[in-house]
Amino acid sequence: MEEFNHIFDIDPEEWVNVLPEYQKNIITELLNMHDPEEAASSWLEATIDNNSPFGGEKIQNERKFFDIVKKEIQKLLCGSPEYKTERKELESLIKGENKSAIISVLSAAIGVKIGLAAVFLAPAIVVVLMIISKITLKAWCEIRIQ
Amino acid sequence: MFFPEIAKVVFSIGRIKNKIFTPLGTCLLLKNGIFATASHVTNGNDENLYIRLNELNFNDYQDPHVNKLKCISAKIVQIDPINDTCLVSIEQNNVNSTLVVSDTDNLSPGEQVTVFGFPHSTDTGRMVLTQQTCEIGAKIFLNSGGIKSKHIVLNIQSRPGQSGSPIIRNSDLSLIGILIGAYVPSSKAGIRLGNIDPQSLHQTTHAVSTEYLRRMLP
Repeated sequence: MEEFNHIFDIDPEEWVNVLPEYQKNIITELLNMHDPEEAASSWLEATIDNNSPFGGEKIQNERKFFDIVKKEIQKLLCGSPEYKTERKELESLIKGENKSAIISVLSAAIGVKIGLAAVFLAPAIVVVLMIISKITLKAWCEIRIQ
Repeated sequence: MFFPEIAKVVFSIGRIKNKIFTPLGTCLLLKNGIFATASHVTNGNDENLYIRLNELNFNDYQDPHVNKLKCISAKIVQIDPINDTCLVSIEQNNVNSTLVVSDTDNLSPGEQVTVFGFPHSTDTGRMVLTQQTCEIGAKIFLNSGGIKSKHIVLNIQSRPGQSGSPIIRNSDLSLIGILIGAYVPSSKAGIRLGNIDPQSLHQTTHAVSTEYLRRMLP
C-alpha cells in the first residue's frame, strides 16, 4: 500500500481533470450539489425522474454500484491478493505520475471484475481518489476495514 | 415523409448469450463506426454487446421473426448516465451516416418529427423497424441526480425496445433527440398487467436533446 502513497499527495481537484470534458462538467456539478459519495452514486445509479425507460434490462431502484466499486478499489489499493497483477501495473505507472493512465488501469481492472465499462466507472473512481487524496490512502484503507 | 435508406443507419442493439440475440433497444449510426443510443440501454455494461444488422429494404415487407442474424460486436466509448446518452463503436470505422447532430433549442411545440426504432423488440422479440411521425408536445426539463436537462415530449405512444431511437426533425432532417422512455407519475408501488405497466400506456414519450450527445462526439 505504501508504494501508492505519494500519488495521492496532490490537490484532490486535480483528479477530475483526467475525465473527458462532458464527464468533468457533470461530476463537478454533482459535487457542487452533493457530498462526494452521493455524487458518485448519482452518476452510477442515475435514473431520470418520472420516466419509464424502454430498454431491455430492468433497472433496479436499489442498485448499489458505488458500494461495489468502493469495495473493489479497496481490494486493489489496500493490498488484496486478488489484484496483485494490477498493482504491479499501477506501480510502473506511478513513476511517470500519469494520472490519466492510473484512472484507466483502475477503471479497466475493476470494470472487468464487476462487468461495467471502464468509461462508465471512471468518474466514480475519480471521486474515490479525490476522497483518498483528502485523507491519505492509509487512513482510507483503515476506515474501509472498520 | 419517406426515408427509404433508414434501415442502413438504424439498428437493434442487444446482448448475445448462448448464441441468442436479446434486444436491449435501438441505436443509430453516426460516423466512423460510432453509434448513438440511450445510456440505460447498455446499463454501462458492454459485455456481449452487439448491433444486429438489418437485412431489409425499408420499403419491402419485413419478417418480424427472422432467425438468421448478422451481428457486430460493439463497445461503449462514451457514456453519460445523467443525460441518458451513450456512444458505442464497432471495429469497422469506415461506416458513416450523413445525419447532422443538432439539438432541441430551436424547435417549437407543434413541429413534426419522425422516430425510428424497434417497438416491442425487448418485451416480445418482435423485430420490426418502424417509422412513427408525430408532433412535439412540449419542451421540458427532467431531473436526474439534481441536474436538470433538456428534453422534449413527443405526442406518441412508445413501447419497450424504442429506447435509443433517433428523433429526426422533419423540416431539416437533422437529429434532434434520442428516445429515453415514457412519462410515469412518481409512485413507489404499482401493478403490471401481462408484464405491462399500465402507467406507461399514454402518448407522452420523452426524448433527450442531442445537445448532450454532441458533447460526447470525438
